[in-house]
Parts: sequence; structure tokens; C-alpha cells
Amino acid sequence: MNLFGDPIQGRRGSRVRIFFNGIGLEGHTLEPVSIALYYNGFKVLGRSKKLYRVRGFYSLSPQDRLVLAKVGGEYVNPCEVLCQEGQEVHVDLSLPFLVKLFSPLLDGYFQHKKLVKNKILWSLAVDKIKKLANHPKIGDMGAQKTGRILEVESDVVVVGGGLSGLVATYTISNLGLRVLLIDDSPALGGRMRYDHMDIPGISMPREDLLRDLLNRITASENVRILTRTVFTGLFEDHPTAYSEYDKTLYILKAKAYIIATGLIDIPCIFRNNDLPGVFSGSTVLEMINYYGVEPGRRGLIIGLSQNSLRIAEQLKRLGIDIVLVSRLKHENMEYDLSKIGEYVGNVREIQASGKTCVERVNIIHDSGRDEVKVDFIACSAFSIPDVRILNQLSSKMVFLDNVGFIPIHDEYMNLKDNIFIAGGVSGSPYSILHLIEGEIAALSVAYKLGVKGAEPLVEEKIKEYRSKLSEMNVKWKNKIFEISRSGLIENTSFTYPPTLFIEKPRNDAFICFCEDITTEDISKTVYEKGFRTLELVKRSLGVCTGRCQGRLCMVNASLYVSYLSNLDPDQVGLTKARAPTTPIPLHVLAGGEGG
Amino acid sequence: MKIAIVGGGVSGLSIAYNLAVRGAGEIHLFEKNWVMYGSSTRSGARFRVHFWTEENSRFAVESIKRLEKLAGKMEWNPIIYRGGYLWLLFNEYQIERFKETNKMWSKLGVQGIILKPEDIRERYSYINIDDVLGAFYGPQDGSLHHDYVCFGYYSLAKKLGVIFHEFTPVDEIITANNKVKQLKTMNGLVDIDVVVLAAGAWTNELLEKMGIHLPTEPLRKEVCLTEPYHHFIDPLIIDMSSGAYVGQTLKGEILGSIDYPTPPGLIKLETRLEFVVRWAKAIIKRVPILKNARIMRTWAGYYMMSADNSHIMGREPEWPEGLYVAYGYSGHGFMMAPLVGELLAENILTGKIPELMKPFLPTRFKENKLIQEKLVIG
Repeated sequence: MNLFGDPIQGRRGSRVRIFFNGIGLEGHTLEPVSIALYYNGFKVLGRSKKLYRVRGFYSLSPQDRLVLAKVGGEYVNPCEVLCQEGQEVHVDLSLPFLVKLFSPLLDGYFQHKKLVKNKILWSLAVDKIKKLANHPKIGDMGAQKTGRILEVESDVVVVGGGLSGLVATYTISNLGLRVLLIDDSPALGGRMRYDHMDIPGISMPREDLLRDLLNRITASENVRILTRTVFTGLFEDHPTAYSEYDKTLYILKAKAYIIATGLIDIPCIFRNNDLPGVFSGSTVLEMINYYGVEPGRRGLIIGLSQNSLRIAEQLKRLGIDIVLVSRLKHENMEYDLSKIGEYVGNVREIQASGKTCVERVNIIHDSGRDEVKVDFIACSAFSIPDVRILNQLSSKMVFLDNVGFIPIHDEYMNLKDNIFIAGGVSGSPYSILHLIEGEIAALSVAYKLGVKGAEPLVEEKIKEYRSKLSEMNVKWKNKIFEISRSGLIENTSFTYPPTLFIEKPRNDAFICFCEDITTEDISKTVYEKGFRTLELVKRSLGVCTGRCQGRLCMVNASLYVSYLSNLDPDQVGLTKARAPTTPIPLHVLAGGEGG
Repeated sequence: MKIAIVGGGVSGLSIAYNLAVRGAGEIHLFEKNWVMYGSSTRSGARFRVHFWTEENSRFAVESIKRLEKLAGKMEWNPIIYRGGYLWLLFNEYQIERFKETNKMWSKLGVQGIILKPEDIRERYSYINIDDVLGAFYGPQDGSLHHDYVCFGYYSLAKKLGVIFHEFTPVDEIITANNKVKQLKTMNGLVDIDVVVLAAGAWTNELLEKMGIHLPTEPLRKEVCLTEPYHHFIDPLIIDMSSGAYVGQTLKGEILGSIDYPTPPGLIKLETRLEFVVRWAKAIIKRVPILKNARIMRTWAGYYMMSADNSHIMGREPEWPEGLYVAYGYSGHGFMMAPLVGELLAENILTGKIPELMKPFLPTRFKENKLIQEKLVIG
């Protein structure tokens, strides 16, 4: 296991030969199949469930599972399986007969009315519905490894090995408590693993900081690390984690939990936003800096922020042309655009097009229309806290404009009972805050678990934290602490969904990729059916019920409903997430029986 | 006449619709959360007409007919699909009992088929029949879309003028001179002439404030759902040896549950890993090909169990005038509610008790005329 996200020259791992639909090509042992295929120009990994649209991968997270492909005879997430010598990858790109005519049958309620009245027609329709949905056959869901269940005991579990999680892990272990650190990535470091620029506000170079933290953690006897492992959430009887890599379900026994799951760059909503070649901003960085694979030679970055500028700069260094677009005006901007090739502001609508991947983009803005040729798109307009675990815990959230749904926590970084949070998941925008939050969460846990001398340390840290917050002008954090005491949520403001780049609902602008749900579907539900809460929209359309369980669509869906119905996102709300966070095979749950 | 219905699940929605369609006057429906929030939206979404007792079987047969008729009228497709129920049987006694009961079901027009192990293998090659002695197949049973059934009733009722009060809990029913008078809600008192309590697992809280006790208690049930796969399981398979059931939704997900000891009461709607593990083991044994299916989501809801596992509808003569109940479905709400709504609406509006409703009156517990339904799944 390589815990260090060492910078690499070229690709990761040693060369192997894999086969894609019978065609031999080169892959590397430490890169996922999806990356090897992309590098070789095979960007389509499958077709979507209902509309049979071509799909690639949006991110490399094992939790997204937007597309499954047949690798070595079994359907798996191609972003989760590493290349092996002689491995066969098969993608079925055939289209069923008259699929466009029949796919509306899968829509649920919109198209059925006339059919239902006629018993014979309806029974024919049911047969069609059963056969039509593009799902893997269960017999192809093979498993080469036998599953198992293991119990892991520790004092504290830290979920997420980014900056705040690493700092928390080190701080706790240093106080003599045993820590289990879980991360779903192939190596620790979080964003530091693939964002190779230095961290604003921290004087130590990124590489040294990461190495220093990892050295300290790996040297400690108190730390146990599980990478490629997803914290699958809290069942009533046991918290659990699952590693697809080892086909192992971990039953966690700990006295406290620190959730440091960070941020997710959620998809932008524009026409044909499901084309292969549309990635999350952080995925693009991961591709170039961690896997040594370029996403393309000319890219569109959506969104203007420190984050998107860092992405642009690192792409530029590789000689990749960048067009950056956002809704913001040219003038009066706090950002230095001199390093970016092209910037288009006041953007109202984006339309991507291409046959099997992104080829062109039409940009409609206040002063006209531009067409640019690009071969990839990075969505970097909105990074939201990954709150699904907290959502499982029914923790209260409040929506803050341009920040996202923030879990209510106090300055001790305590959520409730023995659950603490730190870093991006708490909404904090700057790395320097993540660092302090990691320390505070760790010290608060230590105090809670009765470690002597922890109390003055945590009070001191909180003082430092408060002054940093005011120095960096993050006023809303104090509001969150206030709410955690009073329980009162004031009316929040909401201007516009940061990810929205269409002028009216479109049947080719997707919100939910697993279930093929478009902005047009959602607008029908809102306007024709009158649904105004995400729980009801979910139940009418199935948004948030697909394989990613709302990870990529939940906040987009909530904000889009808010926008259409002129409501506060707090009123529209989120839907309750439920265990497990990522799907677990039955044979693993059965502890290897029948596997 | 001003009628209030407490509870916005399938039961309350069906009653509201049936009252409205008969022109019952001013109908208000109170729901403490959003419509269908309670147990309706947590349903396993199956229906059957095969019950151990004739009363329940007859009731379900008629009820599903009502729902099918409504399907063409509703704005929502309830997605009714008769994929059948398959009870796997493990001893002669079980087979005998099903054979015997099948005579009653034949009489009701819903005859099932007794299958030998070789028939099972031929029809459902994916089922492991090593220890199976036979099966009962009920082709008239099937699945529905629980959310769309509720939405369907909801939109019909709304069009007919039912007034919905969502996010409005009812705290108490105020009576005077042994007659219901007002509802106490957070928005103040509401005058009413008739109140129907259809609040599922939460009904007893209101009844008990009036000193009325019916032998019912909520029982939490947990459900597992996998990722979607190409459709291959038509019937709902009930394993009478492990108490597990498994089926496939039209969306392709594998859905199921297993009998697992749970204390009664309004306990938190959480799910247990130990339950999931037990289900996984039972299902892998019965349908081995499912070993690689992945559990994507779990959830829980309440069965509101009555002492005889049959629903309770109507009123007792001694109760305050204008008070009715419709609850205690014992896990069979979606199967029974379409007819409950119709019969109860007739009963409220005419004062007559329809023949089909008579066995299900709350008075049966005092009179010791229990229905004793023994075929409860999950």
C-alpha cells in the first residue's frame, strides 16, 4: 500500500496489456481501468439506464458509481478496479430496438395514463419496462474474492485523510489514544494528494507538509490506516466501513468519531452535461497530477473561484489551453485572471456537444454567443460539504448561499453526542481553517474521553480559531455556532444555484445521472404536480435513489427546486440518507458464506 | 357536515377521496408531516389476496379490484403488476394447510397452484430447492408503487375539494356530551362533526387521550434494497423456513426483509447491521445467484399490529358520536385501504354498516370475535 501520494513522472505502476472490446492497449498496474481507457481514447464506459446515452466517469470516487463496466467478466465500477495483465474489459454499446420510443415507459407516471386503462396494453408495457432498463445481469456480477467481516477496535475513528483528518489523527494519537483513519482514496492526503500547488496561508510547502504529517502518522503505534475503504455509515447496532478492494466489511468499535469527509465538486447543470469528458474539477487535477493522464488538450473550466484558478494554472503548466467561464462579470473581480488564456463572463447558458465525448461548447452570454472547441470540461462552480454521513445521522443543516448545506456544529466541532466534524465538511473555505479544525476536533474528543490536560488546550485552540475566522472574514461560522446553541435558524438568503447554466428546463441537462433525470423532469414535477420539497420530488421521480444515493444530485436537485419555486433551500430541504453510504455485496455481509 | 381525517397515509387518503367523491361536504385532512410521511412511504410495495382467513382474503380481493379500477382515473399510474407470490414450503403440514386453504381461495376466485419441487425448478431455476418440499403460488398477488398510489389518491382528493393541512399535528380530540366537537392543533381549535383516526402507528396516542384502548401496537420492520439489476425475479418469494422474503421491483432493485426480533413500540426508524446480515445469509441460501447483489439502501417503517393481525375500521357504539378509526392494518395497508376508504365513507354517510366491513369493527375484541390472521409476512 502506498500511503504517500508521491508525485510521479509519467504513469502510476508498471506497464500491463489490457483488452478493451478485444482491442489490446496499455494500462498501468496502479491506475484504475477507467483511466487507462481514457488515455487510449476510449471515453465511453457504458450507456445510461433509461435513455441509453453514452456515459463516461465524472469522478474517480468509489462512491459515485455512475457507470458499471464488465471487467474480467464481472460488472464493476471501472474507477475502482486497477489494471492487470491480460484483463478484458467489455462495454456493451448496442441500442435496443426503438429505444427512443419505449424509454418514456421508464419515466414512471408521465406517459402511462392511457396504457393503464387497457389491461392488455398495460401488461405489454410492464414486460417492456422489465426488459428495457439498462442494468447489468445479476449473473455477471461475479466476485473473485471471498468476502469477510472484521471487527476493528479503536478509541477514535477519523473518516477522511485530507488535511483536517490527518491533523486530527496525529493530534489524537499524540495524546495516547488509538485512532483508526479511514479514507476511500488509494492514498492519504485528500486534496493535497493531487493539488500540487502550495496551500494559501500555510508557509510550509505542500509536499513537505504532507510528507511530515504522513511520517508522523505512520510512525505512531496508535494509528491504524485503512485506505480504499468507505465509511458506510451508522447502522443502529454498528458503525461500518467497507473496502471493495479487500471485499471486507469492517465493524467499527470506537468511543468517538471525527467526520472529515471534505468537499465534493458537484456537477454543473448544462446541456449534455452527461457527455464523457465532463469531470469534476478535482478529478481533472487527480488525472494529471496523480495518474499522469491528461484529460485533453483544450478544456473548459466552469466556475470562477480560487479553486478553479488553481485547476486552470496547473493545466496551463502542462500546455493545456483553458477557457474559463462563469456567471460573474468581468469587472470588479477579486481574482487575477492574467494567467488564464480566455475568460468568458456573464454566462447564461452552456451547451456541450459531441458524439461520444465533449467536442464543442456553445456559450451564451450577455453580449452574444461563442463557440469553442474543447475536449474536456471541468465542473468547478460549486464545492459542497460531503454531508451524507451527517445526513444519515439526521443532523440539522442550514443552507448558506454559495457555501452549501452546512451541518450545525459548535466551536468544539461537536455535532452531537460523540460525533465531531472538521475541515471542508463543516463548510470552511480555507485550508488554514481545516488545519485548526482538525486540532480542535481532536482535542475536543480527547477532552470528552477524559484525557488529562486536554481542556485548556482546546480552549486555547478555539481562541486562535476565532481570531483566524475574523481575520479571514468568515463571519457565517459564528452564526453556525450561535444556531447550535439557540437551535433557532433565521431565514437564509438564496440568490441562484451556482451550478445552473441553462436558461430554461432542458431535456438534455441532467440533474441525476444514475436515474437519467433531467431539469425538464424536475420542472414538470414542480410546476405540474406542485411538489416543493425534495422528499416529495424524490418520491415522484426517483432522484437521489440511484447507485450514488444522491451524492452528486441531492444538492443540485434541492437548489433547482428552490430556484423554480422561489423558495429557500432550507424549505425544500434534503432527503434523508440511509446506510450504507456505498453498496455492499451480500456475500460480504454474509461473512463469506456463499461467496 | 364537517369531517376531519387524521393521518395522511394511504388509509387517510383513500378515506378522504371516497368521502369527497360521495359529496360528503367539507373534508379536512390533517397530517403531522408531509402527506404519506409515516409508514406509507416506507412500504415494501406489495399486495396479495391470499390470507389465512376468508374475511381478509375476500376483503383484499375486492380492495385490489377497486384500486385497479381507479388506476385509469388517477393522475398517477399506481403501477399494479401481478407477478405473483411464491410461498416455499418445507413440510407436509405446511403443504396440507395451503391445500386446504386453497379451497377457500378458489371459492373467492383466486385459486392458487401447489407446486412440486420439480415445478419450482422448471419455473424459477434460480431458487435453491434442496430442502424445499413444495410451494404455493398465488398468481393474483403482485406489486404496486406505494408512492404513486398515495399521490394518486392525493391528487384526486385535492381536485374534489379535500382541504389538506400538512405539517399540522393533531394533539387532541375534544369531545362534549359524548360527541366529538373540536380538534386541537398547533393552529388552534378546529370545529368538526366527524373525525376519522387513520394515523397508523400514531393512532393510539390520540385514542388513549379519550380513554379508548384497542389491542394494537407498532412493530418496527426493516427492509433491504439492492442496486438495480436486469429483471429476472417475477414473484415475491417467501421462505417459510427462514422467515425471509425477496422480490424484484420493476426498477430492477432486489427488495426484501426477514423476521427479526424487535421490541414493539414507536422505536426509532433505524436499521441494524445484524438484520441485514441475517437477511443476506438467508437470501444467498435461497437464491444463490444473489450473492453478488449489493445492498444499496436500508430503511424501516412500522407495521401497526392488531391483536388478530387484521385491520380495524368503524366505531364502537359507546364511543363519542362522530369518532371513527381505520388503522391496525398489521402490514397490509396498501392491500386493504382502497376498500376501507369506500366502506367507511358509506358507513359514515349512511350510518349503515356494509356487510364486508362487519367483521373488522373494533367491537370484535370485546366480543371475542377475532379474525386471527396467521399469514403475516416480514
